[in-house]
Amino acid sequence: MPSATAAAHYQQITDRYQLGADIQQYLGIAGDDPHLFAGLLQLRNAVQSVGFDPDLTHTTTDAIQPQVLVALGTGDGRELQALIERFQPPYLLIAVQDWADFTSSFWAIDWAALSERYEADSRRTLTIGCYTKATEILAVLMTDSLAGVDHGLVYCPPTASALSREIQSELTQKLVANTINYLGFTLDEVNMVWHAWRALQRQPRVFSQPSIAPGGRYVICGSGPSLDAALPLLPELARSHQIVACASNYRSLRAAGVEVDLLVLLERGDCMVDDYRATVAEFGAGATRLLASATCPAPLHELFADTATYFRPALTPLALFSDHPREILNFEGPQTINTGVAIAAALKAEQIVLVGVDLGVRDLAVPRSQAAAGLSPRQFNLERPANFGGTVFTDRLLLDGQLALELCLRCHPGITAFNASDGLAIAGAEPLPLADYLERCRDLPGDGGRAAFQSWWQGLPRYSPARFQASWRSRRPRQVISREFAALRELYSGSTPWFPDLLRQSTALLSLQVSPAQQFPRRMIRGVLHKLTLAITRQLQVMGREPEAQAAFLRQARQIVVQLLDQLEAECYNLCDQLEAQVDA
Amino acid sequence: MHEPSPAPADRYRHNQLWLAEAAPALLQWLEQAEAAQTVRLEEGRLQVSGECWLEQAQPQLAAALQQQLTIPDGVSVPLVSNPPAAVPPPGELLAAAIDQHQAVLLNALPNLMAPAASAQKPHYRSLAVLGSLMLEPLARSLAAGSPLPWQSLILLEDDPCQLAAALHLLDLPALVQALRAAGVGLELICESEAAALQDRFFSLISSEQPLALHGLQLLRSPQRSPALMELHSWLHAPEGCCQQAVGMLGFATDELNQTLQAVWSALANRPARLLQPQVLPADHPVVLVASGPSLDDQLPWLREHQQQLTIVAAGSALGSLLQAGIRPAAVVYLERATNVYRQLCDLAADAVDFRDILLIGSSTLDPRVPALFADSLIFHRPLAAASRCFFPAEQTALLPQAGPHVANAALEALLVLGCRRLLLVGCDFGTSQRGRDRAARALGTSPRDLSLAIAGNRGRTVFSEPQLLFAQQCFERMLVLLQGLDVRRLGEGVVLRGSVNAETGAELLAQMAADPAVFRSLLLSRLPEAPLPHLSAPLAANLAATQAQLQAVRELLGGSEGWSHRFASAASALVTRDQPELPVEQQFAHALLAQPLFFLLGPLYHAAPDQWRAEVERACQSLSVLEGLLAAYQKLLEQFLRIPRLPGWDPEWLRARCRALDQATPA
Repeated sequence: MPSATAAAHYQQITDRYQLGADIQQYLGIAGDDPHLFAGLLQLRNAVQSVGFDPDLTHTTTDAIQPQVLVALGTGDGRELQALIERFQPPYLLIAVQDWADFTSSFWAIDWAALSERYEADSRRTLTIGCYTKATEILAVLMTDSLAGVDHGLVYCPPTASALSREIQSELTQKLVANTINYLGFTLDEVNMVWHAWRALQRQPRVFSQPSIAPGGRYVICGSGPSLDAALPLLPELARSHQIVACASNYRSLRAAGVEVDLLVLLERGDCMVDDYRATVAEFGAGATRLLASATCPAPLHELFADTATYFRPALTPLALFSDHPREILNFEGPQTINTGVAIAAALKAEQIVLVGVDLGVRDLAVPRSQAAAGLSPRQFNLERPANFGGTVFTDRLLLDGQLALELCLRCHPGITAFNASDGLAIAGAEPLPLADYLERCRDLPGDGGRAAFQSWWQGLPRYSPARFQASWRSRRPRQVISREFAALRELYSGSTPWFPDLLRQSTALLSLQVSPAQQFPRRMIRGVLHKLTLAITRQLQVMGREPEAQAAFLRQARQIVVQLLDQLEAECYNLCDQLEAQVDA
Repeated sequence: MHEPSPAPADRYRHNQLWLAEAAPALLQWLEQAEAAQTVRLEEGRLQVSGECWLEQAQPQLAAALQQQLTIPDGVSVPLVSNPPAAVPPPGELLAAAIDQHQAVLLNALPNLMAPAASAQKPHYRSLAVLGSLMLEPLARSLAAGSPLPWQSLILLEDDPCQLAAALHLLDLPALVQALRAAGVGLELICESEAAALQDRFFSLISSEQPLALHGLQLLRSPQRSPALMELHSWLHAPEGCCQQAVGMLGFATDELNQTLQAVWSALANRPARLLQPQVLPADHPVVLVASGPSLDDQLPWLREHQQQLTIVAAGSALGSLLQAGIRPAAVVYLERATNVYRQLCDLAADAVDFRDILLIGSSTLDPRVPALFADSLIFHRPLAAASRCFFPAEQTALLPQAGPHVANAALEALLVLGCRRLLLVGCDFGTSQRGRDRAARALGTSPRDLSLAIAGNRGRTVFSEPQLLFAQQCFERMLVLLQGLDVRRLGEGVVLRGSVNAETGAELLAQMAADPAVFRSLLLSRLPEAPLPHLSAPLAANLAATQAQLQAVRELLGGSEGWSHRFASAASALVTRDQPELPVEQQFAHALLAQPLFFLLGPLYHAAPDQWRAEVERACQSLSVLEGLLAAYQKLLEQFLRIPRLPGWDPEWLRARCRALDQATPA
């Protein structure tokens, strides 16, 4: 439950909104999550109303009901056996790195009998497998029950390998939190859909992942402070490379007279429009093409002669307007430099060089490129190894960008990547000062793949008005909404036991392993619903020693969720109504 | 040795020449759009109008086919699966069906009883190809010797450019020949307009290939045109293709009752006037009131101005109007069910006088209903077995669709009578507030699950259900297709194209003002009385035709060795309901038997080859049940046609007569 201070802050935010009413109140708002905050506030009140201290947040092992037990090895089996008997976890995942880690327990655990026990009970699951990555384990657990992962137990036997310990650390530290945090929130999704609706009506081209790769060499520019020193070298590099500006550094590049081939955008903020309008007015757009997420503000498409849009894999517009997985740009976020690298990867670039992709600062007084557009206020409160030695200051969001970038490079081994930025070290990108890189490239032939890129770009279809209407109508969005909410309402208001049945069924009802059309309401609300379910689950664990209070709280909590579902459903319909009104108007 | 592949342009010309002979209209469609000129196919890269559709056409299309075969997409009408039960003797079965709305007949067919007919994964024997490009990998697969799992193939295309592109890639005459050799039927439906494409497809399904709906696989081109996206959505929608097709099959138990009631009424309720076209002046405005929930909000305005408005109530809305002190000029009734009669009796018992209200009723109404009104007009339902086959002289009284709901029938009756200016009230086909499903004091009950959210006419989401949406589509179709209509609408409900939202007030009143007495007097003075029908001869002919139809199905089954294109074509011809080109007695057989035969053939559609004979035997048992029932039905009708002056309609007496038939007939 939120602390009293957090609750007061949440109250201030929720007071600005009337949930279940007109979605216009959410448009243009950046970060508030009133649905979650309102739910949490009501849950806190519910805790108080049953005579329990909402600020009491600790749990003890004698009163918790872990929904999962992950064994990263079985040791000699005795400890694991005891844990299984003590907690009777509905989901038992034996995640060994080597089958020898499994056989070591054969003397102590009768696996055949245990397996039989689990198979005989439809509410319990036993999975045994070899896993070498924490993400794989988490994916298995979260597919079963997302909120059930909280207060799950991770057993690492004393004889466990270093890899097991690394996985344990990842599982118990940031991985789960990151997964939950990036589930999105309804207010944001409303804005995303709103922007996409308007942007697609401008008939931009639609990105389509090529099957015959244009390839090419790309300079991916970030807005880090080290960009400024690199600017004089870029015109020469442009002979053999295509220059990709990632958001705000477009202004730095244009101010320095650099001809930008491609501007990529990711964010949805309305203020961007004024920034780019001013940049284009001041320095011209040259031959720049724009590749913007479908969720970016529509007026951006007016500023450039030729524009295309792409769909972000995690956001709702994909479910409404995309008709082919090829239209999704993967690895595109969370930072716009990720978009730059992602498009180069999608085009199967042979070589990329990162310039100004600092993802941090050496000097706190110079947080970004001097001429970059707009503002990016950050708290550089973390220190990490730097690309050219030493350390840089960074923050959690930039580190997420680093993680995603490294993952993208790992998944595209055909790309030779260099990092010429004086910022965070990036695994998979060889550190190389830009002058040295330029020297290496001096004799490179060709145009960096411009001709092939242009041929690919010219072949991209436009998002026609007929397609727009058909995409929307054929999704039957309202019908999908009504079915989804009816199922959720029935689940939360009924008598389904919270542990483990409701947790599993709600995970299934919010899963994205369904057709795009069915994903629409799920994408709109899964963040808030998963988080509230998790908050209730955690509170039930905290109240484990007081079963009566626990039961009374659960009754109220279910009602709170159902009430919120009603509000969210009304808002989803209102979103549909308002979107259509724009077309009719 | 492989022959070199012809160049794409040469292949197109080859196809073009063939189309000129085999399908000149299709070629014309292509050439009018100058589609071929937009296509460029170079080194496998397919570009159309400058857009790259496929970078490696053949591998990408092959992958698209493979993916859709691995995870098939399709639609099918749910199998009927009843719990096993003893089949009653024919008279008892008929007695159970009298005045019932349940699927009494279907429930009694032995081959629709579990476990053989239990729900199984659909077995796709028909294929709809949405987008011509997918013909290329199919042709390639067929040429490579892979047998196709389907017995009929329907190509749906709205984009001449996509067809032109496909004709650059494949040899169409060779494909047609290969399909023919494999015994696979092929239909090409190419229409530029989405609505026309949907109509032609539905027409094909409902009139030529209804059995395809037992399992129609869908194959989508990676190049998705807007019209085909909408068609695909409609195919899957709860109110879409299957719902409409099943509606087109009719409802056999209801047909039996409607025929019985229509015949009884025609003999007992004399004299009766027949509805005729164009007897009202087009500029006579009429307020059509249905019992949607928004009616409640409009009642004060209607009450205040009722003397200046010609109000026509659709069915149960009569209760709302009368109890609000509003007297409509007429009421339209469609449903044959007894509860209509009972509700009206209840009204009369509550001292509500409605005798002077003009009844515009279906010939299939409970025969006691017309007697409750001083004056009545009769219309016929076009798809009702009785209407065309027992009353061939009264075809001018046929409404275009007469349903599925009374609001539809009311609209059609007014349009046929000549009204062109209408105000719709309570024609909601949904609700803006869940839990408020209909007008507060509408007669009877209509339990509905209005949980299907849909766009509303006032810019707000409203809630409906598949059956209501089907009714809404029929209603809307009338408004859109008929030229010269001026239709306004009060209240909030599902969007109805062809009508404009209106607000109550002086302006609306001025536009809709008309003396209700004129309406009544025009109808009563201009409409003729129905002639006394001669029913014995049609009865014998019609019921002989039904027995012949069942015998034809039996023979078809007996000579079959499995489900094939030939079998499906022959069977489809026997289960298609609406066949106006046939002699009337055969039309009766089709109208009555379409539904049971369609479902009776379902288990055969899904039968594996080794189950075929057993399923045929079980289907023949069902045919025997139908034969016995229809023989009993004929006897029952013959009996009451002998009565010189029919008494009041008495379902209980009829049931007793049915049961007596079993005693009279040796087992």
